Amino acid sequence: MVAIRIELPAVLTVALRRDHVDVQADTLAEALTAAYAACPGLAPALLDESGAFREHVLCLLETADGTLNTRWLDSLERPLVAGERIVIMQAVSGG
Amino acid sequence: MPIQLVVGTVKGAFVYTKPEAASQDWTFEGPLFPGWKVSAVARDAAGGWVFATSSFVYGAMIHRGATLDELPNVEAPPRYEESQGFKLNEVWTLHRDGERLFAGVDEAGLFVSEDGGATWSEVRGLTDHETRPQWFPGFGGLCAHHLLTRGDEIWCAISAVGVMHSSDGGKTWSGRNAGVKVLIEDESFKDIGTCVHALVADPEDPERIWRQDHAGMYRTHDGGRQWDLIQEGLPSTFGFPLVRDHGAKALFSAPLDSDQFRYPTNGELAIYRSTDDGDSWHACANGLPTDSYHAVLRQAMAVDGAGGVYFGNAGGEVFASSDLGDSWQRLPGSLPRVLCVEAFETAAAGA
Repeated sequence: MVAIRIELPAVLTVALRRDHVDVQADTLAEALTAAYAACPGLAPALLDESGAFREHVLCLLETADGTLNTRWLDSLERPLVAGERIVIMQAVSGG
Repeated sequence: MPIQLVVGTVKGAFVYTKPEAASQDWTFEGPLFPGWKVSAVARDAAGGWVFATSSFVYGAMIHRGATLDELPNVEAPPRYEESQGFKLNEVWTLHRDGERLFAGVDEAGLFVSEDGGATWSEVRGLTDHETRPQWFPGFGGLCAHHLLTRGDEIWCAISAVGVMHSSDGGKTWSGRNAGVKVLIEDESFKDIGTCVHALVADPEDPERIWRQDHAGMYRTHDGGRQWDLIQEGLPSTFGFPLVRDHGAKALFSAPLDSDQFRYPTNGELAIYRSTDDGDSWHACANGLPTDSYHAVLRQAMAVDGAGGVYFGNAGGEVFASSDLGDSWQRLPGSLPRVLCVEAFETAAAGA
């Protein structure tokens, strides 16, 4: 397992009262599952009723080779590498 | 007793406090939940605070805590099952009945909590109702926004469906809209298709209920089996909030110039008061601005039971009266669009 940090955007930080979650995981899916367990309310905030990321939520993986948008992946079972981090972003549209 | 006025807006909640009901010396703090829509607030049976927040990005949340300084989110807010195919976008109202707390939501449905808002169960009888596939959203969405309860009886106001009633704690439901103008007539179900905007009942006679509808002000004496128009003196039939000071037996509404324009008629902002149970209405505008073209939204008016009447508008202005609407003062601050206003007596400021 590797230590990985999930960083949360400012508006979500207001509601959840934390700006990141640190977990240990082997894969992206495991990291997110661990974060949902460690941070009550995170899962319903990020996921819709089907369990998919909400429409205006982006989950990015910062890797040594650049940023990977999880929407580009067929599966979240991607192995994690030490030093990577997960960044949650939200749509910036709105008034 | 100090009064705390909680004003929910599209970008957070703001709290006004005055040391006693008759005072006009308000203090102001906020925002709570910056960046979040705050659509409803209630006190639980133990005096704790419960807030409903939402975001178009993250959906709906419930926050609860003993004080306004500590309001963590609950782990499991109201949420539909995936198989139902509904989205829960926002909690429109929180209604407390003894130990129980109800949440009316968008998309329309009803949830109940037996533990002060920590966990929630859906009232499936409502969303499983045979008319549900024909429910049609109003301009503000398909939302359950006002609730009345008495024992096992529940009246649930849904836009643009009408009043649904249950006499068995929510297991079975039927429409109670006879006499109300239908806006969107359904081919098969003739007891839906009205667009109720607000409900308030007489606690001394819970079968007597007043109703601001999309196209009229109504009253029933039999729990909603028959509604009658009561709009003498109102400048229009359209408006959103309707509240009642039960001690003074005074009703308050905020008429708007039709569903087409949705601002005070001729820009003359006025709250209309009835002291004869809705038989007649009279403008209360002393201290309110003219040339005001902001709507007062559905949940944005409240009374404190001690002569205080409060409202906010879509322009972010908040007004208060301590004499049942005879005179008004504008409270400090220029806020985001006001969604809800609730007034609470509180033992001590900041409690």
